[in-house]
Amino acid sequence: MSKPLEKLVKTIKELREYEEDGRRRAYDRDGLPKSDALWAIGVAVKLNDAKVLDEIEYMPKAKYQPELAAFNMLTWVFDQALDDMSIAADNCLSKNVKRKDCLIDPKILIKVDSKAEELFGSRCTWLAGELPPERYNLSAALNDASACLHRTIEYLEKYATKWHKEGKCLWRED
Amino acid sequence: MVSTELIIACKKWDMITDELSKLGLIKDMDYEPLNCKIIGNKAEVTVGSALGHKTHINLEDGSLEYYDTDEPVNKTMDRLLKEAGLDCKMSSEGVFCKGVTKDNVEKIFETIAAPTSMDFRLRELRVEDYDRWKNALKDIGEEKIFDECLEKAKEAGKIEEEKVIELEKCLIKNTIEKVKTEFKALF
Repeated sequence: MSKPLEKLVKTIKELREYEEDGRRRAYDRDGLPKSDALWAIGVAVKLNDAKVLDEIEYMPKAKYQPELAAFNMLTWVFDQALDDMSIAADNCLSKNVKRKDCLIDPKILIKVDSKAEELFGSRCTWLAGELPPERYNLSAALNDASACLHRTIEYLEKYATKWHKEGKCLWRED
Repeated sequence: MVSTELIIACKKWDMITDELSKLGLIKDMDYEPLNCKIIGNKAEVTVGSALGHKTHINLEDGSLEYYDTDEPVNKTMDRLLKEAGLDCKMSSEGVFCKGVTKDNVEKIFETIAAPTSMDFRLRELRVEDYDRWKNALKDIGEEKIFDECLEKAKEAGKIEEEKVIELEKCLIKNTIEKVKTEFKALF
């Protein structure tokens, strides 16, 4: 398996673990946001690791370039959202504020939604923009971020699983 | 739909490069990054460790783009690809050809096994260090190929570089022909 593809397969596995952990944290509404900031940073790091698509894809640059640009844009806004979430989570933790009482600006995930719509054809959050801002808390943000992560993983899997390998030869169905 | 012809040709290239590596004609550092990616009717073959040492083969328009900046290697590849039936032009960036078809793509992939570590083989031939080639040909029971190729190379011209290029071209071409018969039944 080529190195970028190997890296992508490994990253997808790690992102799935982060997704599961994110949902578990979101469900624990009465819990304190212990290590939620680390979770957000970890997801951001792994999303950055997934930026190997241009090394896996090849020649038909014209065909893939717009899609790769949309993916890079999504990971960029997602990274910003995760950064904002980590700061909010740290603040709440320092004041002993539970997840359900830790308010977050839903706009940060609405930005992710707009980029997800460009790439996936539909938004990736469930609660951002649906719940009134005064009810949008860290639990909701963790749930939304995990949902967006899920869509991103599905998108990445499209590239990781379509490849067939024999010896030094790799091929995929278009 | 991915091209079956490209997949088969790629597998052949894979086996030939394996054999050349076992014979010591490909350096480990050049062997490690080798890979061939196919999407639809197009293939990209990484043929060496240097950045951008790749070959693009496109069955849609029949083109082959061999990227290399090493002039003697480009000269050798230009001749090998022409002898494989392609219409090629050489530049400082590589060798660019037309004429790849489903019928000749296997032959073209065989030829694409040639440039890996060719710069290093040419360097040894230039200083008349023939041990590597002689040992490799001995391993496949074809020692006579060396003398035949050396004779042909001497006829090729007075310029030393020209002789070296002709010698490498003849040796690698005959070696590939020989090693591919080992797994002919598979295809």
